[in-house]
Amino acid sequence: MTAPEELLWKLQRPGAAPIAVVAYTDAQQLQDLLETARGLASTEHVFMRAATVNEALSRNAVEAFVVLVPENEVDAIRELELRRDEALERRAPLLVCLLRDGGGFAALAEAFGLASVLRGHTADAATVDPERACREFAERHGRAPGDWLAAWARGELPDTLENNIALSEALLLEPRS
Amino acid sequence: MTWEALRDAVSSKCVFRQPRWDNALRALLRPLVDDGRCDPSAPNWLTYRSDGRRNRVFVSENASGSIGTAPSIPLHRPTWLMDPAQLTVAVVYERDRLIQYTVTASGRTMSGDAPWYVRVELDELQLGRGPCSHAILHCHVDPDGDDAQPRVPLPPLVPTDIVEWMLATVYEDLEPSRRG
Repeated sequence: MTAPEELLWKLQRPGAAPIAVVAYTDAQQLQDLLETARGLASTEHVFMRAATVNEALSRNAVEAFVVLVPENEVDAIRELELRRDEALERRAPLLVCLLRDGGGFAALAEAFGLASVLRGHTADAATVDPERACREFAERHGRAPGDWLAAWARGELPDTLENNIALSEALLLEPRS
Repeated sequence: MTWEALRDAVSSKCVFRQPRWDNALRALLRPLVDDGRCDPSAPNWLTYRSDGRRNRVFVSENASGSIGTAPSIPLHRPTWLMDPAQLTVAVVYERDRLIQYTVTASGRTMSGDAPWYVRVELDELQLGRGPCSHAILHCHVDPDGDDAQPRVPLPPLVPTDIVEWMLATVYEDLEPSRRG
């Protein structure tokens, strides 16, 4: 699976299937995902959050960038399978958010038509966008993760809680073989 | 030789498969949520990120507590400390190997309103002058990052062991030997 940022870019390219799925693990990731989607939505679309497939496929949502966070994931996937032609006729992206390893993904495994449409259109909110994450790390810590790790290994940074948490972030962003 | 043997024992303990450390840590928080000693959102504050190979679990900035500037989970009604104590954790791991972790609890004592602090760290590599003065798994009892502060060497323990230890230290009834 790709990072959500990459998927959102792909979703808005001309000719792309306008539907995609993103897996999330917790409320924080869902909130981050909604903010990212809102930030990356093209200005030509209104941004809209939906809780049911009916809302997502309603007439007034046809040109909106819809993020569907289903109240009932299993029912939503089954309904989307039945109404996938309607979903594909939309003129703006439809992003479906599902809990990782939850009922929605289990239902998707049995929704063969929808699954074929979604091939290459799935992302995991837990996946790091490396460029953005490295840039944000450097802004917060004054150096890139690799430089920060080198300074840490030389003993130049104090052994504080804050630096140990920064260390964990740098180790994710700059894994060594 | 003791210290090299300890380092090797800790390193060996790090090589095992733990699919998701966030889930293992959430399982320790859930009883606290049920008892009202932890915010119901606390399990959601544990955040997971991955680059597909390496994974990181940490407490998100949405958490309502802090230790210094680090986000943390408030622990309410501690036995010996003023309310609330604080807990934070960060773990880096790959599919078959624990790479690095830090678990910290802090608070103030009820008896003398004195600072109370424990921070356990697993280093990825041997740091400092050697495995005796700077064991790769060690505990700080002072928030100061000054190298003059001692690092207490620890036996091989994983993040859930450390959180369990810290919770049993903060809450008298969570001592494993007192539970049924």
